[in-house]
Amino acid sequence: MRHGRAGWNRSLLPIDELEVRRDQVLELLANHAADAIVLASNPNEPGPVSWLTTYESTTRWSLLLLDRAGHSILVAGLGGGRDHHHIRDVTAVRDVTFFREPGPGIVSQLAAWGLTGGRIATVGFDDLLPLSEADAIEGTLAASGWSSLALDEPYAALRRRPRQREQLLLVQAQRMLEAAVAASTAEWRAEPRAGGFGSFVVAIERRARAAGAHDVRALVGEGASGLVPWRGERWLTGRPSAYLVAAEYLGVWAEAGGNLPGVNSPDTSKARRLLEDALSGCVPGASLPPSLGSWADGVDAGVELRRHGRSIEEVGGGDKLIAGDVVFACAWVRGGDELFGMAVETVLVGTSGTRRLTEAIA
Amino acid sequence: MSQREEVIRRRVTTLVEAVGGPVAAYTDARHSLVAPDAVWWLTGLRASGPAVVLVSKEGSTELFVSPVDGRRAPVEAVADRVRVASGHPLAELHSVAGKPFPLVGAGRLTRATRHRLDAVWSDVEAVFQEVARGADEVHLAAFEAATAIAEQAYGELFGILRPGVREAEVVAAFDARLRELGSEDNFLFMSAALHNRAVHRPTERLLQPGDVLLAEISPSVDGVYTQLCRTVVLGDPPPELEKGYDLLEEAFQAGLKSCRPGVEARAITESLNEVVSAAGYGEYCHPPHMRVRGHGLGLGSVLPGDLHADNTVVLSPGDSFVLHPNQYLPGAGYLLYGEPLVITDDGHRVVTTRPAGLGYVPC
Repeated sequence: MRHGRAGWNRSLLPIDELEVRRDQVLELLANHAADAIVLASNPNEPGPVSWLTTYESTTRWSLLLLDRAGHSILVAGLGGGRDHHHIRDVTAVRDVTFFREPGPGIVSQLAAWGLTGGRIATVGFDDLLPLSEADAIEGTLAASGWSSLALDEPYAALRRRPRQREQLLLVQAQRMLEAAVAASTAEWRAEPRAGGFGSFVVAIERRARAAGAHDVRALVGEGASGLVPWRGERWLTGRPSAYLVAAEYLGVWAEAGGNLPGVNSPDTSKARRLLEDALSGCVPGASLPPSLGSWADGVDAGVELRRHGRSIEEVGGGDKLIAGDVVFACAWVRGGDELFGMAVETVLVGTSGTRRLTEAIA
Repeated sequence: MSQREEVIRRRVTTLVEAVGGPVAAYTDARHSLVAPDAVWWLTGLRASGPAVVLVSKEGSTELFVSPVDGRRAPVEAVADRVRVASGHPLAELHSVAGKPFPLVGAGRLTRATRHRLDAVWSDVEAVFQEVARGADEVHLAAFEAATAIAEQAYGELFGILRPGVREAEVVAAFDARLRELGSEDNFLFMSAALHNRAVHRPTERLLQPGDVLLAEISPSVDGVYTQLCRTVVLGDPPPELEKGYDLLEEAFQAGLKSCRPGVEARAITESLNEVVSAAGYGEYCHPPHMRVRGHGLGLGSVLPGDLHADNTVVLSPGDSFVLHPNQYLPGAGYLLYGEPLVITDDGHRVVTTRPAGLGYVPC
């Protein structure tokens, strides 16, 4: 379930940026001799569709159909279009529809664009659509003379590295979240509320949403359970000592976290050193290492590095870092008292090392 | 044995009897109002990662979780054995058991998940939906607690509603309050306009005098969501708004009369639509002017499902759902009116303690 506002800030994400993205996809189609593409997304991972449209579904999967000539239509909403007025209002999409049966609907739409068979690319069919829907759509396409080609990886590669102008979005999102954390930390230090840790996390969520976040998610580090999604005080099984929050804004994610204000774990400085060591290796040409350690498996220390921005589930990937990549790093140390020491940082990879993202770009 | 454990053990036994043998239930841990969670219902564990529980024909349970739940699961779950899977829990179960099982939660499978299995698992979701249907003690307590939270937060909402505040700021504060009150999640649509076309997620829009604010308030407790549908006007309500709201209230009351055991769910919609149609708005009783007249609310089962004119599910005691004649009306715009209720042995019980009523904020 997404928690935040819906909207499209045209000053930060102008229509010409979306046109650049669309043209990249059209080039991708040409390179793979595909006549059209169907992209799928869901509320947990809206990226594939929102990157081209700014649309983020709230409760259900959505589809974007785009043909080689640049025609596009968004398949979204429930119940015959009640929500389409709003969708057009807050996204870069003019043509929105709802197909009770997506497969026949897609075939019919392609025919309306003059395409009655050929090769159609897909994205998100393996992991973002329910199995039954993915099979039904591809089955209908196959029966109608369309051969399918999964282009998940080439499409992900298009989105993976933010261009310089897109980095500004990442910075805006990061600043928004860090401001929410700073204000909540100051408030908490001044007057720890009866709600304890819960009031701190809820305050961050509230401020980030009020500032514009489209979605906010929080994890809590507690002794007994490792780092787990925050769901309320009564679910805690140990003493909370660290937090990690993520906020999405206009399709990019920002993350922040560390030890709770007032928690004096001797391991915090160790975690910071671990983090700095890991970041020192983030130079052009280096590969992102896999996560070292595990959040919940009894490991005492670890660091996780991942390419950052489009998804909070992004993994390192096999390709090497280049200048301009944005990397999120999180290091943790768990001592004998079950308190976490934790340190996080989001950095921009430069030609000779890394700088904090919010300081690297004015 | 605690009441929670007793109820969960009873749920497991009922499922095995209904399926007639061992059965597995799967979750991808993406909890929401529209996606009931069989693993949570059968073990009490709200998983943070994918999880699957295998129920033997004798009723013993073996829970397979991912490492992220490795520490919590043994503490929170009611299960005879907990295994922390090194790979995907479903694949681990398949590997350990060496054979497929009837599966609850197949709708959560993706192709990527299926590729981890080398056999077809039969889908017994329909059986499960019937088994998990109806509010037991644990469900009912959570449903009532969530509703109480929603009512309290709605009462406090009037303290922050005023012209000049952005929709998104109102929602941020409101949702935070629900969290403070104990809601672990919240399906919240809240938006305003002079003339609404629908309700949706909040935007940058500034609230203004004359705005009609719509709110679908759906906090959850222990995985059970409730829903209140409310309409608030900033300033003096125009006559057509009051008239439209009164019509929805009348329709709600008509629908309520059909909320009793033995009645097909479609009768609720028909009763409600008759009122709206008699007022001359029959053509607005269909999409895109509305969606459904309510929907089931439950952690395991969402039966009786969406309330629409084709739903032939027969209501039975324990069914919990929201009844909401939410719709668009010319003049008034889109309006919300809805209450959560439970079907009882001789009728129904509205769970909220205060009727909705059109809310006012003086301007």
